[in-house]
Amino acid sequence: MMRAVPVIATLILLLAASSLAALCIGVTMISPLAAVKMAWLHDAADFVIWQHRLPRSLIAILIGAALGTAGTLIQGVIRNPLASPDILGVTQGAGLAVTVVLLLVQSGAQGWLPLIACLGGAGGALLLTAYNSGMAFSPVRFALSGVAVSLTFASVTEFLLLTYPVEINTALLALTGSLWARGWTHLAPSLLLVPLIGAGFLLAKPLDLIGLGDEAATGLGVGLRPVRLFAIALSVLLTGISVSVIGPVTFVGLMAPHLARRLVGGAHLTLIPTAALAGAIIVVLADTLGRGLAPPMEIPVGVLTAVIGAPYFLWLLFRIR
Amino acid sequence: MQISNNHSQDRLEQNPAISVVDLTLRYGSVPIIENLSLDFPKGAFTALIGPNGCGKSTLLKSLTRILPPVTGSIAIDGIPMGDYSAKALARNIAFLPQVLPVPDGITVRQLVAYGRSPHNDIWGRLGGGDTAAIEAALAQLEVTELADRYVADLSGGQRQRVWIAMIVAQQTPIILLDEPTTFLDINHQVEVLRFARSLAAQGKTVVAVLHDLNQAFRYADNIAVMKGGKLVASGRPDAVARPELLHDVFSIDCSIIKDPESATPMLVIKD
Ligand SMILES: Nc1ncnc2c1ncn2[C@@H]1O[C@H](COP(=O)(O)OP(=O)(O)O)[C@@H](O)[C@H]1O
Ligand SMILES: [Mg+2]
Repeated sequence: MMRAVPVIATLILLLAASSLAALCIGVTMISPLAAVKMAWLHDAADFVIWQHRLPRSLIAILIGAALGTAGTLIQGVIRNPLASPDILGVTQGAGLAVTVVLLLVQSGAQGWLPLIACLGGAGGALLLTAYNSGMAFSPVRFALSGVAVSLTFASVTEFLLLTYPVEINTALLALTGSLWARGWTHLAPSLLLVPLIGAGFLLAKPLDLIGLGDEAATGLGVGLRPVRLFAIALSVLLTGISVSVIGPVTFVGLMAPHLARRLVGGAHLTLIPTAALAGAIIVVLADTLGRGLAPPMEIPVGVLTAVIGAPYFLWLLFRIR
Repeated sequence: MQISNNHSQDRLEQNPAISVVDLTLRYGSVPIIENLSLDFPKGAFTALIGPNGCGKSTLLKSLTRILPPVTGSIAIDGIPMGDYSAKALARNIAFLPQVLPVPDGITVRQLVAYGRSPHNDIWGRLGGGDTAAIEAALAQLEVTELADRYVADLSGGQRQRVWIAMIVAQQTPIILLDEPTTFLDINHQVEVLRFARSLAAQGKTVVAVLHDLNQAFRYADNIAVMKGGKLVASGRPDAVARPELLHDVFSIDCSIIKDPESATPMLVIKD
């Protein structure tokens, strides 16, 4: 559609503006002009910007884009507006796996976290699939059982954190859905997200056709099984890697694709980049807001997205039932 | 009419476009179609008729590999269906499902453009030939004025015509239509049936599930009658339109007269 191009351009501008705000806002307030100058010149005096806020914003952008893309792929392949990685048990499954490993292994596990998180996420998705197989598919039951699985994982994670307070190290504390203390070292795994988001575009056409129903899609030459497998695997990877960097952040994968669909319609070639940009803006804004609301206290990104996302999910459930 | 009937007679004697041998289909463990053998003649318009639940949709689903056969074989143009890649099959057979979902946020032109997907690359880029095929299909189904509206905002009948336009844009030699006229007013029913006939006259093979027997007898070259997952009869309308057979299959008492307009068989219900 024609109007996709201006929409995407506007979102890019919005993302630039929110990233600039992210550089300025925090315990020390910096004027936008000074912030840009400092990030650009990069000298020792600009510790706050260069060591903290810049890498943190870049990570927020990448993870927000990853979550928006993952949600779009899942919603497209399951043809269910209620679907998203967090509602499928992927996000919390990844979070639980990371927590367990960090509790068991005090050090040296960092490099393995992305893989561990992806395996945990895949486990969550498999559990939900097993629970829902063998019956006629119902979107609402699927979503509700996904919420139940997610809540169970989240509770077990919470329980572990409460029962082993001594073993909790900073590595673990950082993984509770917050961008606190994320720096350049955490950017490397986040960069893996870039090619994975790119790979999502390969699914644009088959997902469009799957949107016409399984029968019509097959009639148009789509192999349903490989497309489903590819889309779900990509979503699990995108979500798992994100969780391994900042912990579970929920509802971005649900909201960003909805927002994008309203803006540019249902064709995935424009839907995927729009949802990625929307996800990036949501996470950057939530992180900035979390730092700016009550400094020096930080409200985690995951808390803010849940505050907006949970009522939205309830409204969706209400509308669909 | 006479001439065109002779024409279709010739076509019935050619190689079949689709040849089904000894086909058994199941949903889970429930057998729906058992040992069905049937040919769809090339370049002819075949109407598939039979009571609700007799397996018409199930049979059509197996012809586009949506439902894999338990036993038996299906050959398209003499080549086993298994030898076609998914895309190659989609370039040979187009299928209009009976139940049409309402895609969200998709315009009519976008939907019809999806019909070109077996012919274009993985980005779905449309070349000049694709655009021409899309515009032609929109015009043939008289939905050009709807092209920029959202499919979700259309009436049931408009939506059905738009979907048919998508199938037509696929430009396949074989076209399967599951109840293409169900939601249409009488004017558009006749339009679609005439269109199916003209596609057959161009050499395409058209199979349509129809419920109006008189329309089937009048517009189709060939009739296949199913009951309880079995083929009861197949052949030209005047060979199939027999009161005993229709009583057997549909439990109706009727007599057959000549359609005063086309001289094809016409069914009249008896009290
Ligand atoms: N997805 C399905 N799962 C199980 N049974 C089905 C399914 N679809 C159709 N059936 C059953 O198969 C039989 C044939 O259905 P169908 O082919 O749709 O009939 P029709 O001739 O009306 O098109 C019916 O008894 C129907 O209940
Ligand atoms: Mg049917």
